[in-house]
Amino acid sequence: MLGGAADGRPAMDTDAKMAEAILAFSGTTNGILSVQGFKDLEVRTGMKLADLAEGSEEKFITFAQTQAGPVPVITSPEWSGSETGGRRYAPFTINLERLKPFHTLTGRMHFFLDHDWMTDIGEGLPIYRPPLDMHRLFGEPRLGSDGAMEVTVRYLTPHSKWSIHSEYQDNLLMLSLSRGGPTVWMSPADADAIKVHDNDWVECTNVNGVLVARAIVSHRMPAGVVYVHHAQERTIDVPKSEATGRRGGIHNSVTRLLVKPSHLAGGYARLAYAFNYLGPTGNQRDMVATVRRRSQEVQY
Amino acid sequence: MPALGAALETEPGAAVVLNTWDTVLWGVLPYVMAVVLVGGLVWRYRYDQFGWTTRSSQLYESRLLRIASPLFHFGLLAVIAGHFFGLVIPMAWTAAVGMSQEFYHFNALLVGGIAGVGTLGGIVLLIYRRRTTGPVFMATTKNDKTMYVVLTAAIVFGLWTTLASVFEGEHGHNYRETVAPWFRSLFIFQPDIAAMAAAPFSFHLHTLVGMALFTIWPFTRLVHAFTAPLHYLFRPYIVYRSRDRETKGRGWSAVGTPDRDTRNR
Amino acid sequence: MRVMAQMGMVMNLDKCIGCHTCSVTCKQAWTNRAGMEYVWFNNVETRPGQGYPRRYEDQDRWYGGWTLNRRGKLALKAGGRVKKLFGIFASPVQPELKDYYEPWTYDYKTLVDAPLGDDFPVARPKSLITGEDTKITWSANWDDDLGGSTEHGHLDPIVEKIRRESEDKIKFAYEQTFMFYLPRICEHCLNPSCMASCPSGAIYKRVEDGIVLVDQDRCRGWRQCVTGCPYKKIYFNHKTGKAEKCTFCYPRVEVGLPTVCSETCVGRLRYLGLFLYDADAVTAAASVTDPQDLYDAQMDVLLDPHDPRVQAEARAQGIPDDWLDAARRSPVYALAKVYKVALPLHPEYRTMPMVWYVPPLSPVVDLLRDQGHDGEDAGNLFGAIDALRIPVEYLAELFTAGDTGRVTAVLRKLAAMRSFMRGISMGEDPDESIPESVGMDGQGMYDMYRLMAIAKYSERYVIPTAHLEQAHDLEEPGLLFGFRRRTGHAGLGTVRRGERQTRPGGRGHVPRPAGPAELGHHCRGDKPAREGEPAELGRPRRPAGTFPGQGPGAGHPGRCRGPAVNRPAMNRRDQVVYLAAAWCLSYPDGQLVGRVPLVRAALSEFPGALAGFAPVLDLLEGTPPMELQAQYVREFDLGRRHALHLSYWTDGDTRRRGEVLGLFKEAYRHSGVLVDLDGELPDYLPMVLEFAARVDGEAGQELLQRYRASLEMLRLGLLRDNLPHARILAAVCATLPGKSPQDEQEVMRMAGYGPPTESVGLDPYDPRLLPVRRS
Repeated sequence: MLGGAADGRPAMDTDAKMAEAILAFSGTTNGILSVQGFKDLEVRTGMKLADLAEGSEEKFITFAQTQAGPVPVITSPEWSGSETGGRRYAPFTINLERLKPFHTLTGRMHFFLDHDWMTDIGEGLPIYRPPLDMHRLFGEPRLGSDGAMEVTVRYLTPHSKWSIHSEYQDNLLMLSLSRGGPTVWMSPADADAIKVHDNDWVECTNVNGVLVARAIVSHRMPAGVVYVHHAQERTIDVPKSEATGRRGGIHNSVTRLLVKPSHLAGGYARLAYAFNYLGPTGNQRDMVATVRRRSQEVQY
Repeated sequence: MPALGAALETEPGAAVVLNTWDTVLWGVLPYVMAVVLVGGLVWRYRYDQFGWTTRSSQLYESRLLRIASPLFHFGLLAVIAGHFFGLVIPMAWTAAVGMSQEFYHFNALLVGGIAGVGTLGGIVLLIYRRRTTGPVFMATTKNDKTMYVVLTAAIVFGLWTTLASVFEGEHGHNYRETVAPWFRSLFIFQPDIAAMAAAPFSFHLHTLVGMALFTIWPFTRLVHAFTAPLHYLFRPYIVYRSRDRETKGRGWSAVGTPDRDTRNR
Repeated sequence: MRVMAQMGMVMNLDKCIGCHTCSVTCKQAWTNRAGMEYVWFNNVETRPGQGYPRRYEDQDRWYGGWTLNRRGKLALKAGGRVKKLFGIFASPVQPELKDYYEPWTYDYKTLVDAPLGDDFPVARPKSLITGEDTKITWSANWDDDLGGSTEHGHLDPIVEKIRRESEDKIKFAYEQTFMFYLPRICEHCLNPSCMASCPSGAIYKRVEDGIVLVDQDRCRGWRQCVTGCPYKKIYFNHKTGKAEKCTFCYPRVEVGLPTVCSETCVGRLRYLGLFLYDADAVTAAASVTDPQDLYDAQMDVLLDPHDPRVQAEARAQGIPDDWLDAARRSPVYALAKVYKVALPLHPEYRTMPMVWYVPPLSPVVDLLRDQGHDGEDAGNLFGAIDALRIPVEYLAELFTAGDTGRVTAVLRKLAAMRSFMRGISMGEDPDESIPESVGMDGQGMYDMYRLMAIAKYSERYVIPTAHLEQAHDLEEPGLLFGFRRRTGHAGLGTVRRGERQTRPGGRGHVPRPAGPAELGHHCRGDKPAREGEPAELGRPRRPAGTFPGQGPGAGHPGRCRGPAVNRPAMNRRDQVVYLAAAWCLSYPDGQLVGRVPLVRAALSEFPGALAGFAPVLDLLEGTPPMELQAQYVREFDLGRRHALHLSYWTDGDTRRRGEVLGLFKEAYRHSGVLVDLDGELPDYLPMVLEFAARVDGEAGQELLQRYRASLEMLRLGLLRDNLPHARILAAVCATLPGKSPQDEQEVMRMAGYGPPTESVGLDPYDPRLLPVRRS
């Protein structure tokens, strides 16, 4: 239609069409693909799997449907759980119930790793490991108050009670039922150390980045730990930071990748890298950050 | 000002030259006003129940309101009572119970003056509050603003008549011989235009603005006054209604204030 | 004794996870509009916390609810009638907006149209009251999860009260942290103080179901009700100047659906059902001197629906039998009066609230566990009740006017239930000593467990439908719920309302257990056609059904009784075809299958009419019922390839669909009939066909022709999938003017659609649908 090399190909010149294209490419939103995917998986694994998506061939979740409201997705081979027949998603159900092999070297769940590296570091079996001493290892400030109205705390990024990763944290109703913007939960002891009151603006910094948020001070937080919940939207109520002059970041701004040596064991090319992520199950959450009360006049 | 009043002064009973203007103002307009008032109220009550409310702004601001509103409203009640005494009760009746005109006049000035000043103070404070409190002003419609102008003018001109007679002292005009008979005569459909025409300008002004107020009354928020809940005194506390009650057709019109979210600014 | 019925609710606080789904869905249903931005009919509070509005429970400040005057009589705490009238010009203790919170929004628009800058744009908060930039300093749920507890926690009126007695009782320290969630709606009290405070008498309680509502026509904005309610659950709409409150979702409840908050509750903690109460005893009960006696007094007001005396009195008062049956099955009655685990919220306000709560068990303090005791062992558990994380005193201040003994008794029952069931789950024999120790027996405890832990939807929401004499008075404009008529016919396959799914078609929903029952199932039994007259089919005999308004024994279709409009007679053949099509396209239940001979007979009277229907009629007769129904559900319910909803083809899932459906309903109303939609959308093809055949041929045909494109698309879809119903559609289309198009492209052309144009936004994007018209 427009002439040129793209003729005859699907048009993706608008945002809505792009969204449609993405939806068309995923088995969770395009029934044909999920059925095809499961059929392929049947061939590879020899287990009966295609019935998980049968009946969904003609299901196609459109962008308009997602605008109207949340839509339950189609069971698809990329995921390890099944929502077929109305059951709720739980991970690894396909592996356990349909005996699809786990994505491990042996295809089974591993509990004990018989590898000399793992044995050397004492992690052949799952074991508790305390948080790293970030001061000795990476030169971060020591934990605790340094007398300069700053306190260095362990920085954790749990999921809030309403959300996984995307949960409309820019939705006005949800924001009206909380604090209306990004927040960091602190204990009274840490707040007192830096003279922070409930709802004051603070900044959390470390060598990786800076986060600007308002403090929620509560006695249910243990001293020495702050929570910054996952995926609070950076498009809502995030001012410029004093530390850098740029806009403050999100919960991940202060996390950093720590490559654990044992993750490199085996050389099986299973490591996946993305921006600030090393997978599977990257280790970047058990961080240390310094919290400081900042000027309460914020610039957007 | 008193001089002006004196110039227009005429002896009661003296022949006054009437022109068409007088007839229109005092013989026709009052009935037009009455028709609009009554008809308008009936129309409003039938078709705009949903809009019949005080549209209170107490939720936005209550510190000033809790002084200004009772001041205005109680003052107004006193003013209404005063108007009743002055306009409806004939001189003959008060004389019959032994009340002299001087006595009456003194009390009217005193109590009426206080009531008027209170009412004016109340409305001024209310308007100040309305203009300077952001949310309250944003909730004010053009209709409201018009109504305030007319209402305040009526109060101001009414006070003026009172103050004028303070300054005139004994030579002050006795409206009970001019305005009041005219007022009462309206109800028997024999308007005493001459009586009213003989009143001084200040009374004419007050009366005209008052009539204007009553004319626009049914179309403003002032209608809430006509459903002052006196029946609350006699009503049982708990009210049941059956669901199958028929509801009449309603007319619902838009409130007229803009929604406050950023889209419509 | 005057027996009346009321819908009540019980919330099991053990299950509340504080997700606020109830708040959000209620907001979106009822208060998502200007003037009501700050209003949440349903809110969820974290306790300990100040609640919403802040410190609403401090009646020394807000003067809500009732009190006893010197003579021991009930009086409004904020003053009597005269005092209220004197204070009417500036309500003395009305909360201001800042006591709730100043609602805000964000400058979302800047996210897409900000100019190029040094950093990407951000949406900053703007006040919804002034429209200016604002700082966020309070919200509808500021102290969620104990946020700000060190600064505001002591302002919780209950914490304050308890600390006055003992400073140690509630410490805001990490080791003593406790919290729970308290979802709240309007209590729909038996003795509402909001109603008593209203000078204009605009607030009323419904006779039939006890729901308390504000008459929007009569409210004059005096706002005394806001002060009067001790729960602060009536709000002032600052744009319209009227008071508004939770309506108990009465349009839903009237048709047997649960309230929106209940329906969407993730934790499934809400129960809905009927209470029968003695209206004459309310005032006396609310006037008992000791506040701790109010609970017992209210229990006496709530009547036993199994008591024959109560039943007789109820019938005498006009309460229908199905309501009495619902009252006997009521889960709220069971929780409140049989098992006695539900307690009223703040009975000391003397309003006789009707939304009750089961108090939460909380973890045993770690001390016990650390000492090596099994916290859940029956023996230990009872001892531990007094040492639970949530102080019993706190719960007592909420639910029993301070009577800790009563709360402890409830907690012991709940703990006993856990212990009892744990034994059973472990495979042991039921230990009867456990229920006995709390005054119950094993069966009763098991029933209580069933109700509290695993009850299904229809057991948690037992809602009888409304009975209407003049149903048309009730139809709210814009709502799509139909109303049952109080006729004798139950309709075939009427499902219990609790199970009904009301989203038909389109999204792969759960199949209906039965089809629209009233559709066309009027004629009872076969009646031989009279000489020269068409078969029974064309002549309705009784007024029941989807489109009443046809009087009994109405003869010729042209002479309809009921809301009288002269309708031109429709061609008899068309009428029969429409009616047959309506039936044959409906869910094939037993009654429909039984009628097949009738349909055959009727169609045979017109040459050539039977041919299009024969394959389906044969199918209906020749297939086993289960298979027949499964096929039907698969073809018409589970997918959208043969959607029987006419406007689905033209408006799909766009927002315009709602408006369009409203137009259908208006068309029906315009013909002066009451529509009992029976849970179907108004554009359901069998319904439209029956409308055309039975009520208003001209209007019906006009509707069909307007949606001719949909009919043709449906026909082509059925044809493509080799379904016999295609010929029925062809027969219907044949009655309409104009030739039927041969394929989809021709349908588009016929319908006036041009070549596809670029359109971003709400297009259905389903290639099988017609493109949405730009109008």
